[in-house]
Amino acid sequence: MATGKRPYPRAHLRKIVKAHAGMKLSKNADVLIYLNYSLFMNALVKEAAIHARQAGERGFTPRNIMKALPDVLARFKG
Amino acid sequence: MSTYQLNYQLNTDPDDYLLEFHPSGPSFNHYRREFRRIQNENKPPDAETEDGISEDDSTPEPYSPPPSPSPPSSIVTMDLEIMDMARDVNQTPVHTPIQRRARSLEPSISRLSMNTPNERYRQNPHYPHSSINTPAPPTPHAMAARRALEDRRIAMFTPGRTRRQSLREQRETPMLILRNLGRALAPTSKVIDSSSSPEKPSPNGVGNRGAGGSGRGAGRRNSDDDDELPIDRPRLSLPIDEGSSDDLQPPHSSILEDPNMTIQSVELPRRAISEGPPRRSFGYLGDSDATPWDDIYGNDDTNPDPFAYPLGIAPHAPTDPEIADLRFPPGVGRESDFSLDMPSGLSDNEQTTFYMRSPVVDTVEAVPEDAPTPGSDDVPLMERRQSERDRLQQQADEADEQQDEQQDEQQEERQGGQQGGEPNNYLDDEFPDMGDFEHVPDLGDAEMDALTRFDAETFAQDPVRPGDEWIGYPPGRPRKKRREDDEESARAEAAAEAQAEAQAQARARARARAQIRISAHNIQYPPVANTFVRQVVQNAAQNSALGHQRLAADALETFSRASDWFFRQLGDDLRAYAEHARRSVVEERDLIALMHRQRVVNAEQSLFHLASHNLPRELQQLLRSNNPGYQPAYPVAQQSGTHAQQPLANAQPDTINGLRSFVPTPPSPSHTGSKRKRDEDDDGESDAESLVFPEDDDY
Repeated sequence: MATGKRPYPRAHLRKIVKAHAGMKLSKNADVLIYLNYSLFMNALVKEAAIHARQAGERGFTPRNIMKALPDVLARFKG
Repeated sequence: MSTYQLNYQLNTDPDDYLLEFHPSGPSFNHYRREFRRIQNENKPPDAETEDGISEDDSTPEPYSPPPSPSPPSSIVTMDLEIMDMARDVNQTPVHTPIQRRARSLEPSISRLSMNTPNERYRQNPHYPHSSINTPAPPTPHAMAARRALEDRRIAMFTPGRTRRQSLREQRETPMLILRNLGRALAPTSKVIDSSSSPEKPSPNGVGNRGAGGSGRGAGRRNSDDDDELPIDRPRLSLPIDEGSSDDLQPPHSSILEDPNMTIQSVELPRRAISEGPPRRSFGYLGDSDATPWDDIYGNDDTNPDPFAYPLGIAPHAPTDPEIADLRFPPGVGRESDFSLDMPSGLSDNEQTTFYMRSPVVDTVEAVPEDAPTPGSDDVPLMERRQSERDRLQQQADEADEQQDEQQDEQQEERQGGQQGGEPNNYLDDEFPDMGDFEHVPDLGDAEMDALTRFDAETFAQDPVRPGDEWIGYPPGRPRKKRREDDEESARAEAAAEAQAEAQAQARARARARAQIRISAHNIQYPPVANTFVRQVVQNAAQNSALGHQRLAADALETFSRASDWFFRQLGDDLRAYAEHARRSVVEERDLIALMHRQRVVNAEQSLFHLASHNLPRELQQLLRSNNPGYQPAYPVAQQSGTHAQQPLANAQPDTINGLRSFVPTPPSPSHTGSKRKRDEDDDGESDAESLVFPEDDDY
């Protein structure tokens, strides 16, 4: 699977989480971080789509996203 | 017997020939019974009983006993007769005893075959081989069992009075006993309707309607009862049949109809405000009725409306943090980190403009500082918005030209700040100093109007480009020219503004690119890349209803901001877990614990399941193969690929469900590991290839 396409910016993600956690990350923790992040984004997109559908809009707007964001963030608070 | 022979000869029914084919043939008792039956046809009906008693023959028969219908006193026969009641009238009742059957209908020749052993299976066409058609059981236990079976079957078709044994104690409440007693004692009296059912004419409703004159619901109100005679009042003030009436709903049912209340009362985890997400930064995007800090930002429907918003633009809450109601002084309401700065010279003005200073790192501020000339208008500004990309290419040249002009750097800064309504000038850290507020009273009326006017088309919409500001003046600016006389000056002003804005944008973008973000642990971190966010969002949106839409730039910006908050929250959580475990490294265990607490990994959905749905294959492989820490703790490592294929079906109680499928394959390329991975990779590529992962050294 020697592909050139990287699945996600790995070091980027590691830097961000490392800075927020103030700790090191183990070797493959960022894979799970990415998994969790994609789950979060799934939930957020889903909720925002619901709100957008309720508002009768055709695409995502920041209004929909911000409406959905507190709930989803609270859901993903460990 | 001679008649028998004759009957056999005349019979053309092929069923009767079955009798001939029996290996042992009919016994003597069989013929004897048939003979009795034929005798009974000629008897008067009152002579039936003595023959019915003598019907059964106790002599053993050489083959299986003929389906002699049991005596009519037995329960089985009664049940069968009950079943026969449902049959058609024209149809011959098959279970009636022979005497009645032979007497009621004409003695058909085929009746002879009813007692043949092969024919008994055809007696009940609905239950061709059921035990009903079998003769009476020989033992009392079998009879009891059969009776129980029949009772059960009958109970299926009878209404539930005898069937529902579990509700018997409910039926026999003292209230029921009392009600039965009341029915017995006063069988002719009517039930007093309570006042709670206004549709029925209550006995006291006559007096109520006579006095109060209101028909429906009159007895419910106490004011109507005040008109009554004092005799009637205490009896009828309460609904009498409240305890027994079913139409009265419990009062809490209306609460449960609220979905939010249901959600909150059932499960959803709620956090304390202190540990919640940075809610302070949520609400500036509008939807002021959903955001809890209206009192901070100020609802402008409570405002005396000094800026004369056009009608029909969202009557309340432009959610502009900078134009807020001064009736909420900064110290009174919620304690926030925003500091509200009131320009001192503005007090003579009646306008209630003040400026918010945000302490949050990534909140964006812009402050109007100076009004260059009164009457400046924003038409070219709006037009420039349309052709923004073109201008961005020319930013450097314009900047040079701008330098050539007489405007110095400070002037540009001021002008850029003045265009705070245009939300693309400044990012977080370039919040200008508050010391420039002495210029604020210089604001002319037109400039203040331009600053505080809202455009109906662009109001409550959000910045279009990713470099746009989030907190700032409303993005909508007046589109039309309001003053035609000073068009020349406005045009010159617009040109100057354009160049200043272009420069400011260039600087803002450069600064956003090299923006220093400091986490809570004083570690610099890069922002979440927009391409990454876009990729993740588009992956996520493929399943949603809006998947095929192109992701707008402002939505992308919102998503990336949400990602930033999410990573901040995630980092805090992971640090908490790792510190709790007295580690200094965040490990995968912490993330798995986090996902358990997030309830994204539970008994129904394992981590393997999640990963297989959300991760590309090489990352799944990475998760599986590079977790040596799990191997001693979870000895399920030797399970084969079928377990990995069905993680839910093979859930074992002693293993954590999320971890079980993530047990790494043994380091040596054993058979089970390769088998599992080959089950995984449906395209059948080799193991060595899929183990290669692009390393992250280049990024």
